[in-house]
Amino acid sequence: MKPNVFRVVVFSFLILILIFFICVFTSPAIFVDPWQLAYAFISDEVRFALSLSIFTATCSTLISLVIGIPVAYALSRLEFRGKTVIEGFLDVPIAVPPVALGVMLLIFFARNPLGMFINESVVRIVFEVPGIIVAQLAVISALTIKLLKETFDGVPARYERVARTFGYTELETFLYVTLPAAKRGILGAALISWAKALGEFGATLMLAGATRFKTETLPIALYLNLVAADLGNVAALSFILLFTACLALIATRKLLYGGLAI
Amino acid sequence: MGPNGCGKTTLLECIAGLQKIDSGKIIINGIDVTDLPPEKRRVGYVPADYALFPNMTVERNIQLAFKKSKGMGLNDLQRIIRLLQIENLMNRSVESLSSGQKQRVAIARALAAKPDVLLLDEPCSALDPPTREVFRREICGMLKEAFRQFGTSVIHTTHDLLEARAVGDKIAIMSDGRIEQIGSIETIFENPSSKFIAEFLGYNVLDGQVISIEDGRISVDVGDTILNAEGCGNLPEKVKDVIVVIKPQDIILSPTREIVKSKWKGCQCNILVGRVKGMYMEGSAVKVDVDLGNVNLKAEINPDYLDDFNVKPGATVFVQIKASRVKVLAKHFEV
Repeated sequence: MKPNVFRVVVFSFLILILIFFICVFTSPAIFVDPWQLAYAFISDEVRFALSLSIFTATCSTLISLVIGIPVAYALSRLEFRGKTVIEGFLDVPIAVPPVALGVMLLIFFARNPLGMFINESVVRIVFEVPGIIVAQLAVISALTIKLLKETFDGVPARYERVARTFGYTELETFLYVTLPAAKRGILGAALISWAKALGEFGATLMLAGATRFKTETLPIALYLNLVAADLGNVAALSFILLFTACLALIATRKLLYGGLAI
Repeated sequence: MGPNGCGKTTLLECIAGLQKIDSGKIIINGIDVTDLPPEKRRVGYVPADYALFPNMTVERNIQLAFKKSKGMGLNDLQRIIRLLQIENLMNRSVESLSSGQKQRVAIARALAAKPDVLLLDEPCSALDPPTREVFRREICGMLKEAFRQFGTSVIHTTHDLLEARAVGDKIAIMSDGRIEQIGSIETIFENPSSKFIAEFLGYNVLDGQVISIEDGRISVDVGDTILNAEGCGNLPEKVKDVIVVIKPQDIILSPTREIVKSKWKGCQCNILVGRVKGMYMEGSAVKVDVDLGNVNLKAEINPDYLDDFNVKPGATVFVQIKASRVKVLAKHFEV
């Protein structure tokens, strides 16, 4: 049988890409001294970066959810003038490069009177840990809202109307019917936002700075150690980031699709 | 009852408070609920696809409704569950139920909130014919029982004539957002009050002009054909434009002018000649299209009749209609 040229070409591309990524992902392990690598995993710096990253990403994700759930619900259920414009506007933070977002945040907190007031009298943000959370929040919140809105869009309004006829007020309906029905989608949105916050670099660098053992998240640590040519740490940090990304992905798939396959 | 798009669902949503109304009032048990939100109206609503809450068991679904019922004890809840025969479904997830089971759970859930009125929006549209039969025979009885025990009235919408006939105590026919006629099923079937209803029921509807009225006897010109009607006392005196309604079952076809039905001897009769245009089966009856020149009539004949009189397309037939079976309505002028 004559070989199907189209299939051969398609599969070759697939294999090429797979080989490329496999090589890239395994390079740190192969081309770095194993002792350096092992030592790096238990070094103070890596452990600090890991815990700071987890802490800040969790904070920013939680804040993102608390703000995002009501906003997404309003966008999903309510009709009002200018809704299309607002929805379009919310797409912008997703598209803006994080580093540009970070610079704009820096200017806001360092030059804008309102920002300066917050920075000086409420909580120190510029070049401090809260700045990491603000930077991550700025980068992930629009995405969180978008994902949450899609989740609420997927809960038919019919369920809520039926619940109203039982005697539930709008708020009660939201708490007892809509949220439980949206559970999976909300968790999925949270996971994706968390993974994105964890990997956030550009905005964090601009607003919180790259201070060792202070505002050193995993990506910042990666940058600092590369600049200092500490390959062991760099490899270890890359692995940790790769690992958490895979973890978040698997967890999201299991949640949303009840298994690893979509 | 009414065709798709006539506003049945909108009407139910307005009664439940899920849609704002432009004018008018909604009064339930003597209380004006027009300005009340849905949660205060005590109206149960079951949409056509039942809207059972996903990712929950049947028990949880019913519990959510029961939590909000006032004055309903666990005993009453048990009675409802037994009545709808869903005791053995309580631990099942709603996704695993068949359509018929979903329907019963949805009705039980709506009743568990102890509503004063229960609204069922096309409850049989998602069911296959045997399950529809079950609804007509059993569930209908359950709902009447629910009314007896809990005082819950039921409003049921459908576009299926048979269903309406089997289920309804009283029927309202809707068209284009308006209620055309309310009455018992027999009243509506015997005396449709408008052209729309007569057409919806599948009757022959003809426009005509009155030629003469005398003592309840009318002669109407329906387009170069004159029909005589009897017993139309409730028409205005000087009426000119009218609608003539004839049920397909009241049209008798015969190969000769001789009156077929012996019972008709002595009654005034319309005898017209026409040509058979086509024949088709509808359910268990045979429908025949007869062309009378400017007028077309649909007749319904018993399949047995075909054994005696072989009606064929293209054949000439005599159409016999008793004058008392011809209904004449004044034409409505929309304001």
